[in-house]
Amino acid sequence: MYEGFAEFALKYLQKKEVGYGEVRLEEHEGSHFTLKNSTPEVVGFDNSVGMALRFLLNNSMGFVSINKFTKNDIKNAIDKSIKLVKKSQTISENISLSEEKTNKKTYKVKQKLNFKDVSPEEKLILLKDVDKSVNDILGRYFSYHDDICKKYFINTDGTRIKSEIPRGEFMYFITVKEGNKSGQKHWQFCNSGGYERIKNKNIPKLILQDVNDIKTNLREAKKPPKGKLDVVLGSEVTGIAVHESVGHPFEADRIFGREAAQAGESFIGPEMIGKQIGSDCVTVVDDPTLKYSAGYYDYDDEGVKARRRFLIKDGKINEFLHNRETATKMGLKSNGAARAENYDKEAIVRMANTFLLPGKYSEKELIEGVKYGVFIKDYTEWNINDTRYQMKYVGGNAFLIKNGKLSYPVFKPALEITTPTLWSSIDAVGKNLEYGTGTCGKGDPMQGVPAFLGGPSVRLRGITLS
Amino acid sequence: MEILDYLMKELKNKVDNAVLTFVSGESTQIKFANNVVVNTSLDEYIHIGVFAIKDKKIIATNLKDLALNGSEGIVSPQVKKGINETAAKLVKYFKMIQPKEDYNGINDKKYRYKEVPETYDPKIKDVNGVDFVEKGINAAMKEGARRTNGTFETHDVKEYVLTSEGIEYSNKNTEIYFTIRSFVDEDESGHVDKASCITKGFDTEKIGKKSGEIASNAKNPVNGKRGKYDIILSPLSFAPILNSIGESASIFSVESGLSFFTDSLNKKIGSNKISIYDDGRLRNGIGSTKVDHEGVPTRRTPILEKGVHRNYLHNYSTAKKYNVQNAGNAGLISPEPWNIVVDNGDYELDEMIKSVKRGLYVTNVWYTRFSNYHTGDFSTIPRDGCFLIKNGEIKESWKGVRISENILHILKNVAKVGKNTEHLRSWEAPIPIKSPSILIKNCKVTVPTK
Repeated sequence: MYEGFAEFALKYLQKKEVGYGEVRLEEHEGSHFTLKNSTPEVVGFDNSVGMALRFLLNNSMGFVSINKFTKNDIKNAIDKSIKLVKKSQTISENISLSEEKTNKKTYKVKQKLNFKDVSPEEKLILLKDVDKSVNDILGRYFSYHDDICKKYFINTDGTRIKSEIPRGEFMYFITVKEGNKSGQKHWQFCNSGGYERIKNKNIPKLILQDVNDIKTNLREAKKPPKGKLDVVLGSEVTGIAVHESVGHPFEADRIFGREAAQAGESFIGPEMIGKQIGSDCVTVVDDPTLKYSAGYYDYDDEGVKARRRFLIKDGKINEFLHNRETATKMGLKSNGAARAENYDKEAIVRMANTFLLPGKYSEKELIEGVKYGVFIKDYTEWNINDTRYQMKYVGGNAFLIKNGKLSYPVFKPALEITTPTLWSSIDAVGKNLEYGTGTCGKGDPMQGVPAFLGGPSVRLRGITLS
Repeated sequence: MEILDYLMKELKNKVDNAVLTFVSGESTQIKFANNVVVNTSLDEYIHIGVFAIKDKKIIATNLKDLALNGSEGIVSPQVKKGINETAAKLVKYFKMIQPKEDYNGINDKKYRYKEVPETYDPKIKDVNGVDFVEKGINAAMKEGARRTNGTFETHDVKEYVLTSEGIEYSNKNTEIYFTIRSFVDEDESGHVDKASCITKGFDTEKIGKKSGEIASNAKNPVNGKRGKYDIILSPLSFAPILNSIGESASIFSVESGLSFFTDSLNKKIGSNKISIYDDGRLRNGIGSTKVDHEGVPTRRTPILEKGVHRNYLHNYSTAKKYNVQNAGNAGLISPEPWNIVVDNGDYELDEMIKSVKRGLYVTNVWYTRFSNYHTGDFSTIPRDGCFLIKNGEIKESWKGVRISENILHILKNVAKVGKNTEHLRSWEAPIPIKSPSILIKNCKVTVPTK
């Protein structure tokens, strides 16, 4: 029913003689559940539908989002938007989009257990079971969310993409107290696919492990050591570092300054392709086509076919993340990185699933290669400056390493380091590739999109902790 | 409104309590980068929200297909079908979920609401945004900026609310917003945010000028040094900390382990010099509203008075649970702040700078993150103009530093509060704040090890 309105909107744009026009129709259906300290807080089922329209009028960009589905409302919104764009044309950028292949495709991620067929009762039991496994701790905040997203993308080039991607997400935030000390952990899991992806994850076991780790750390941890030492980062820390210090600065819209006001810029410039930024053993990719991943898609929100992007190859800057607007600035084709949070946001350059490719060592071997150092298994606080040059990760579960073996736990070791130093200090990469989940924030207005942040454990030489 | 009346009639025998909301709005945004407009956006929307309770079981949902009727709120056969389907789904869900045992209902008292002055301006529709943007860019360039980036926005929102307790009201708000970040060169930048509910006096030229000035002053930044410093936080850089204070004041955050206000009620946790309020009735306040989401009039609620923690923020249900007065902060699911307001003090910015022996003047921060919300440990990264103060004078521009601190330490060490307040919301701090600059003693500053 709604597709007819999308076709109508595109035809109306064409009638208005836009140079380029596109319509992205999005329909969402899902449910959410929250449990706080064993008590169900709020349950919900969500439905939404709306359209994003984008057009170039004399090379100036206009964007409309609307969820009123009458022809008059759509016509009025387009007319109003064209007026706004015309007013701004005297000071507008002359925008062009890269020429791309026309795609006509329908695709869908299958659900073994359809979210719609699983009862609210069962979803609540999933949360209750997690709660039961750790119900002696101070703070327990859990949420479950599923969403089936149907998109219909059409543009004036002739591209027609129809997709259906279901995603399920689980989040926990726990507060653990030991004596007069407290520790916290936030953990998130998101997969594309059906309910079976969450059901099979065995979250009660994972959370119990986290609680025990926090308790041990609060009870036994000593101050982190000072001076130069080696550091082994667990895969959770590698994942966040890859996302923040490689994924973000490789977004071409940042590089060209489009997001400078809020989300920031990049310390990397277009002229730096080929420059060594890390050790030879460092290869970082971003891959939307990874099956079951949080950031999965086959075609991006400009209708461009998705592919794996090699951001850093053997330590050298290899390629940036592009949409059609940034690709044309570098004389390239888009590599399919345009994503929008929902119909009411413009598609901008985003990561999907960013991870460090695995090496040949086990985590045990990485630790065995350290005489004196620290193993930071996971993290709590983190941040990075807006050009993505200097960052900080505060360890959660962490241990001193002495003569290749784990010794006592250490309390909040902080790795505060620059991007080139971090990636150049790595001398060995583990083979234990794991994917964490994050909601990546960017844009103005802010947009959060699901993404994998992944990697194996890595070993860094000659680091000073702050 | 016809839709809400019909919907309430359909829900009458199926729920104990309900709050129905119809929101319609129009927003525009002009986004500029490198001194040129890169996108012009228009967002037209309606949302119909349903918050329903049966036997202490709580469901929040929305009605999708009502959008087919446009923004008129009329009940057509299609709308009836959508309402019936939603009502049936609610009944099905109520059978399968469990109660929130500490739930105590919604407000049932009828009040007379007094409008908050200067929160709606019909002229917002006639605003020529391009003119505002050009003035802002040109003013920044005159100050020495080479490139500018930012957005200009207008928002016009109307809301109708009907509750099962027979409470009915409407609300309307407008906002005009400008944010500009000016660059003289790499790492030499200045950022200013400004928001108002009314167009009168909204001066993007002034905002652009200030942004350009900060960028020019931030010339030739050097890498900062780790240590303890007295720090002057501008209103924009204090905003993310105030946002954390506002969020932590909600009883929902306290119960979730997301607050450092634990067991602190009526205890002195801050300096005498700091008083912080939540104010739903702030004149020309971006977050102001005459009434909360369940029909209770809003007010000014002290969170911290002269350093003493005075109140948590409650809705009807949580106020009843804790046996305290309901000050109108619903948030149906969780109580929320409207505008976080800091009482102004006696000092001009120059006087504050003169009083500092070794310190920093921070004009903006970025990426504030907590390692423990319960204890208040966090760090944040100064960006744009960050200046070293030595013996009362600004000596140089700094980059590459991080404030690694604790919120309770910050509150305890407020030494001076500025005279001039600014009202803003920002990308980092979406809860609107009104605050002067603040001087905090003895803060830890860290830097990357390489």
